[in-house]
Amino acid sequence: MKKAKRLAARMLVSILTVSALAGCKGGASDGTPATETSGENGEDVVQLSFLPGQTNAEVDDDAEVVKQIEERFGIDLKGWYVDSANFQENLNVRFAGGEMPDVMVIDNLALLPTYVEGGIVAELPIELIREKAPNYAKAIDEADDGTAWQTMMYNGKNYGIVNTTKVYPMAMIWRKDWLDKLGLEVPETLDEYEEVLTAFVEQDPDGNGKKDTAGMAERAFGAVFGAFGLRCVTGGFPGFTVEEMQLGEDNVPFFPYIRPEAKEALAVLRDWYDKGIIDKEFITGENHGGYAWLSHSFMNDRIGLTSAQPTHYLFASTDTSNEENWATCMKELKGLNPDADIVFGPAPIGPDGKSGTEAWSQWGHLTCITTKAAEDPRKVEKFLEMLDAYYTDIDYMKLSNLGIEGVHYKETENGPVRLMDGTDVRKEGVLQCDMGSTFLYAEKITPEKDKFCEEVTGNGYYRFQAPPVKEFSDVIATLDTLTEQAYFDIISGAKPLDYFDTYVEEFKAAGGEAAEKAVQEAWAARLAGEQ
Amino acid sequence: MARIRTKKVAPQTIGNSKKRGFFQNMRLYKEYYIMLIPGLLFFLIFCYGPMYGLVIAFQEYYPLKGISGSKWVGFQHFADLFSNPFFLSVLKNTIIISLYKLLICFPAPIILCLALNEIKSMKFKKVAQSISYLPHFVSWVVVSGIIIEFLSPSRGPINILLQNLGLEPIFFVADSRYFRGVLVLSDLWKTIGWGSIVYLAAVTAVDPALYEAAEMDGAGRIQKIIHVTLPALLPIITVMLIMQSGKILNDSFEQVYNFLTPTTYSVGDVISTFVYRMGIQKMQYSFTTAVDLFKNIISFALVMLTNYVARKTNDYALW
Repeated sequence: MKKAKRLAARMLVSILTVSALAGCKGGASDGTPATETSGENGEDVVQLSFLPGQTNAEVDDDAEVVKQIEERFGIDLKGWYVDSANFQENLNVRFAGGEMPDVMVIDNLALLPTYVEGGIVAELPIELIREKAPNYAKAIDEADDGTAWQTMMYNGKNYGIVNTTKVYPMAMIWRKDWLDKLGLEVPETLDEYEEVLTAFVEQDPDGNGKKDTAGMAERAFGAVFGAFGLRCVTGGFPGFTVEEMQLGEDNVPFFPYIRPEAKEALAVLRDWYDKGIIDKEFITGENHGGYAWLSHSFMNDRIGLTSAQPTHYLFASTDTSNEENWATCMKELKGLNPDADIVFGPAPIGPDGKSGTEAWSQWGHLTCITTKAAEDPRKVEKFLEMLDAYYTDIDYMKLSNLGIEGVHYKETENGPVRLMDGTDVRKEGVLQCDMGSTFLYAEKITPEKDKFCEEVTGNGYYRFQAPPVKEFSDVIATLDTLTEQAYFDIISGAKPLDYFDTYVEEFKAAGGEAAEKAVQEAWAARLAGEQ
Repeated sequence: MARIRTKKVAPQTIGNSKKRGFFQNMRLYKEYYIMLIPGLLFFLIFCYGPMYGLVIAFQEYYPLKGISGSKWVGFQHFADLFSNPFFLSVLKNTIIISLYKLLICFPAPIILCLALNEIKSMKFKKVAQSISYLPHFVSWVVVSGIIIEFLSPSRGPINILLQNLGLEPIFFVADSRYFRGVLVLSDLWKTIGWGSIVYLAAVTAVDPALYEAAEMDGAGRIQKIIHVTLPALLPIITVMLIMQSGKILNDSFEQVYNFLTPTTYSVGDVISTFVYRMGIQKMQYSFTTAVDLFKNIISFALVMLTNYVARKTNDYALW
């Protein structure tokens, strides 16, 4: 153990030296001074720049929130903005030019190897985190399901931190006015789902005298797969996110899409498509542009069931009569059709008693330090200090996530409510160096929302952050195309159900089998490394 | 147009220079050669210099390591491309869609130009012209949204018409039989007016005396189009055709991407959307460069071929 520690320290030192050398040429093109500026009292003030992922506003460096954070930690906080249109391209261009922030959130863990190999992300030893951010480390240990400290590992080294993130499974959202009109209850099993959805097709729930309604579209597919114990995710864009593997109960990751259970779920979807329960236009998607979580088919009386996060529709309770409780999707729905109403229901229970919907990973806001920050140990220390504060200090959590009371948010009986829209809030420096809705945050700051979301959702299939391996990333795009093609063709009846077997063979032959095996081995190695 | 004019001047200088040596010639016309230097420098620095970057197609390239620091992998990326199970169908789709477009969208602006040219009322002509090229300014994201709604089996006017005629509604955008048709026709709608501008400009340069002479000879409208207007357009048509042929592999990413769904991958997935899906997973600079290099070699060959055919059949080839 001691030896490992010394080795890690030596590695850190060597990384620091190498990146310091590399930074000399990088810093000049940066435009801003690479290391530090002088503070008021003549001392050196550490400069820290944050890239909080994809955002749509550039932070004003003189904003009040920025100033308060700077004072609290004695740093010079800088925004580092990348336009969210073509985010990844713009970011890559700046990396290619040698520019980088000090701290960055990465949305896609599959990019970690590229960032490490490309000399962008620097090592952050776990020993150092434990030493400098003890409260953070304690919170992670308490929430650890055995994967927390493994997530940011690559080739045996740790390259960043994860945050405990309070996530909720997708909720099943029904048109209550349709159910009421037909005198139906919210269904619970897959068979009951079929009955209610068939009634939506046959009994003219919108009362316009025409048979122009369907039951559901692609956003509810995930729940049908969930009824067979699988986590098959239909993203915002029509298609399936094959790159997200599922972690089995035996702690072995696998591709859910090629499991025999998937064929059973496809049989149900195919049958429902044939009966008109699934909107024929699911192929072009429920969302027709604008805010991604809007379901235009749901709002425009085409389907009576959709799936989304509870808070996309309501903020903090199931009360749909209180306008303050309406989130974007609910506002749009009511705007189009004031008589429309919604009700949450459980995910369908399958023949073997399984049910559940997709949920995001409990390890969110994956944050890395760059090789530029690693040049200056004080930057790393300050970053860890800020991280630790987010896990102890509720006032700082509010300042970072919500801003200043009365200016950026107000307290209501349903918890804090933002007073500005997302773009303006970001300009003011709120959310700039944020670590998201941690367990502590949900418990202390938004208990009402937490209770509501827990209440209306059931079992969650949490997102598994697969360890990045080359065998996987080389073929995943091919596997994705294969799967989407086969699944859409089977559901829409263009190919017979038994085509599934051909598809599975093709999937395995195209590198799917090798990728699955490589991920399983990498995962087993990680778990073994922890013990 | 400028290129064609220089070509007409060119034979004289070449003829003279043949008698003298190259350097003698250079000394004689040194002012001209000096004037050429800035242009040459521009092309050297901004067009030929960056071509050095193509070597990353043969490397495992990481930006911060640079070209000198990245590992050489030879033809690995090309091998990956050719061995991909989707590569052949993607290449086939790209070529088929481009050929359809060449067949339909290339002559269409010429026909529109000829039709506009025959309109007597200037006011009507101007309005018609403006309306025809307006779609050019609308982005594909918007156009695809409009067209998907327009062709919707439940809400679109075309399908409502089909249903009223007692026919089954057709989901044009998601049906692999109609998808390429949707691509070609939407491209036609968007580009026809803008494409005709260059021909209209050429038509205005036709000497009215030629039309008068044709009338004297008793030529009708159609005959005037065939024997006066079209021959006048031939040089520009040739040049446009050569340039279009270079674009056969350069599909319109924005257009296809916005229409593509999993049910139409088999007929509509083209090189650029394929590369996008492959490349979005990680920063694959090298792989995408390799694909582009491959594409450009083929495009170059096609341009050379078309130019060769043009030189054999008429005098208006580019070189």
